[in-house]
Amino acid sequence: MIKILRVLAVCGMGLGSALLLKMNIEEVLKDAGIEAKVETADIAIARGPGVDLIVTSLGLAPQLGDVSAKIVTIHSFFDKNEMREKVLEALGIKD
Amino acid sequence: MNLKELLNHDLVETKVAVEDWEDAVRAVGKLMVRSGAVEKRYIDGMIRTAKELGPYIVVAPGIALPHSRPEDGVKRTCMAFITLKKPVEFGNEINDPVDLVVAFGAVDKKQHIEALQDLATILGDKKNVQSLREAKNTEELLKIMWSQEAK
Repeated sequence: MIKILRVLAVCGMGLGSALLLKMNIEEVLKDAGIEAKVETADIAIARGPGVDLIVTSLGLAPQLGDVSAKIVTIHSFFDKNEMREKVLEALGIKD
Repeated sequence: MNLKELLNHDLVETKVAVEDWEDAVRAVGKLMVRSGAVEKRYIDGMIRTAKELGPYIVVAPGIALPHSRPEDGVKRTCMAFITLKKPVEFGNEINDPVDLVVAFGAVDKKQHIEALQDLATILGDKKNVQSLREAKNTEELLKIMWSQEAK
């Protein structure tokens, strides 16, 4: 059985930036044919268990502390190419 | 609600002169207060949030997206957009300096999503970002911001 990835888009409140990230993550994963559940989250949720990949901003990444999930930091939340490169690299998939 | 429903001439301004990033957040917040969509304390909320969580609100090169929580005085879903006369530093080493500031007020996690999607489409195109920077008046600015029609 193929495991469905759990991906979190994390910003301070899970209201704004995380929504922007989520849209791009979903598009990138869909294009790559990867099945995943993408959720928006704040930092507290991101520290919880069962997360495969966390996508967040450079400023927030240090606040996550020690987590088992892989972390991707995005500089431009509107840049789909950056998202594609970084997410696929973190998942070990060649573009 | 989409961008076209949320933005109008009262909620955008071009080439605003500000001293620093706090001033920029106040300038864009004032438009939302004036429209009656948020209480005055929402502006303080946006500044506090930016201080608490760091300069992560600079979401792309030159673009800041200040916002705070619904309980900080949001009366209805809203958005406001200003361009700055001179760029200011928000303390984000990668994406500074900022000259486009988009603020929003959310009442929940749903109502503003469509507008954010429109925003992502518009700002995802570098040509639009350049045109917004060069916009001389609210007419020119809104023409770009309204270009993403509701589908």
